[in-house]
Amino acid sequence: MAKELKAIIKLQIPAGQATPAPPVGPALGQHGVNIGQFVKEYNDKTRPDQGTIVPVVISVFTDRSFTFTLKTPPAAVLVKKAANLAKGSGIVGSEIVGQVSKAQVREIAEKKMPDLNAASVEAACRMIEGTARSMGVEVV
Amino acid sequence: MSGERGAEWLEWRVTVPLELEELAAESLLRPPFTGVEVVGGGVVRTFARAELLDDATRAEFDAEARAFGATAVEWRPYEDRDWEAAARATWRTFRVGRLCVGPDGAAPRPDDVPLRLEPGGAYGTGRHPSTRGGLLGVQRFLAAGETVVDAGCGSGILAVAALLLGGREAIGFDIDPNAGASTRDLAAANGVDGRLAFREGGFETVADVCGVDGVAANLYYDLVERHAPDLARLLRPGGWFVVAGIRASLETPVRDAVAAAGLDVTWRWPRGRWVAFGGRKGGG
Repeated sequence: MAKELKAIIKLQIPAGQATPAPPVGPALGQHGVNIGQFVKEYNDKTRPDQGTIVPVVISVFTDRSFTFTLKTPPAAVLVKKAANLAKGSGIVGSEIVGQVSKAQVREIAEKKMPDLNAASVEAACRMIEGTARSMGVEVV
Repeated sequence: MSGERGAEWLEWRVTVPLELEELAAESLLRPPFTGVEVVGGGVVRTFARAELLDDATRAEFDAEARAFGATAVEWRPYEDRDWEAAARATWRTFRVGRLCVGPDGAAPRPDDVPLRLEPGGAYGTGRHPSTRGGLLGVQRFLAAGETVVDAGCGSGILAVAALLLGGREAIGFDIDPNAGASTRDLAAANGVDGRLAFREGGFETVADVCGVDGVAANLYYDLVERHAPDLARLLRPGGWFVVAGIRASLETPVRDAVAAAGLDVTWRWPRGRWVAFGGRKGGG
C-alpha cells in the first residue's frame, strides 16, 4: 500500500506489560490509533523478555493504521546489568559506582548494533563506553 | 486499567542534552512511573499517579535529574481519559461509493454494501484518498463473479471490497508482515474469508497466477512503474486494472509505464495530491 506517515512515537515500556494508561494512551490516542490492538501485539511479542525494557518505535499513518518496531534494550540497562548494579551514579562524571570490562562493552555494542548509528562495532564500543562513563561506570 | 481512567496523574517532563536522551529515558523508568515517551529534541516525559508522588519525592526526583544533566524539569497535572473509547467514538461509518466502511456494518440505503473495518496494524482503512481511489476504481470496473488480485493489499480492504461487491475469489499479497493477519481478520469480519487467499511477499508470490479478471494496486509510484508488466501479465485480455496511491506530481511517468505494458487508461480520479486511475488490458 502507498502509505502516508503522520507521526513517529518512541516509547520505553516494560516488556509484556503495556497498558492503555499513560504514556501509551496519550501518545497513541491523540492520533486515533487502535490502542487495544497495539497493547495486545506489543505484549504478545515482548512477553518472552518480561523483566526488561523493550523500547518500541511506532509509525502512525494518516489513515490511523500503524506499524511498530521493537528495539534492543537501552544501553544503560545493559551496562547496569553487566556491572551488576541496581542503578547508575545519578551524577554525571562525579562518582564511580562500578566497572565493566572492554569485552563486556564489546558484547553490549554487538547486541546494540542494529539500533546504533555506528559504522563499525569499534565505533559502537566507543558509544557504549561513553554511556557507561556518563552513568559512573568505569571501563577497565 | 479502566478503573484508573479519570484519575489524576502527573506528567514529569525532563529536558536533557541530546546525547543523554536515551540515558534519561532509562533513568526515568522506575516505580511509580509507568513508562517513558521520548518526545524528541532532548525531551523525555513519563507519568505516575499523583497520589504516589508527594512534594518531597518530586523534589528528590528533580534534584536527581538535574545532577544527571537535565537542563529543565517540569511537573504537569494530567487527567487520564479513556483513549480507546475516544478513538472508537471518532471512528464512524463513512461512504465510498456504494461501500459503507465502518465498525458496525451500517448500510442505510437499499443498495449499500457494508464493509466492517476498524483501524489496525496494516495500512488501508479507506480514510486516505489513496485507498478511497482504489475502492472507487474497484466499484467502477468489477462485474459479478470475477476474480481479483490485490497487489500490496495492506489491510486487504480492496480485495475484501471486491468480494463484497460480487467478486468470486481474490488473492492479496504484500511484503508487510502485518498484512497477513490484518487481511485474514478483515476477511473473516466480513464473511469472505473462504474466498480470499493471502500470500506474503511481492509480485514473485503470484508468479503462478495469470488470466484474472481484475487487478487492484494501491502501491508507491516506483513500484507501479517497475511492475506494470507484472500487472498486465496477471490479467486476461480485456481484464481491468486500478492503480491508486499515486502522487499527482508523479502521475505522468506511471501512466507512461502502464501504457507501455499494454494497459489502456479509461478512468481517472484525482483527489488533492493523490490520483487513482484504471482501465483495461488491450486485446479483449
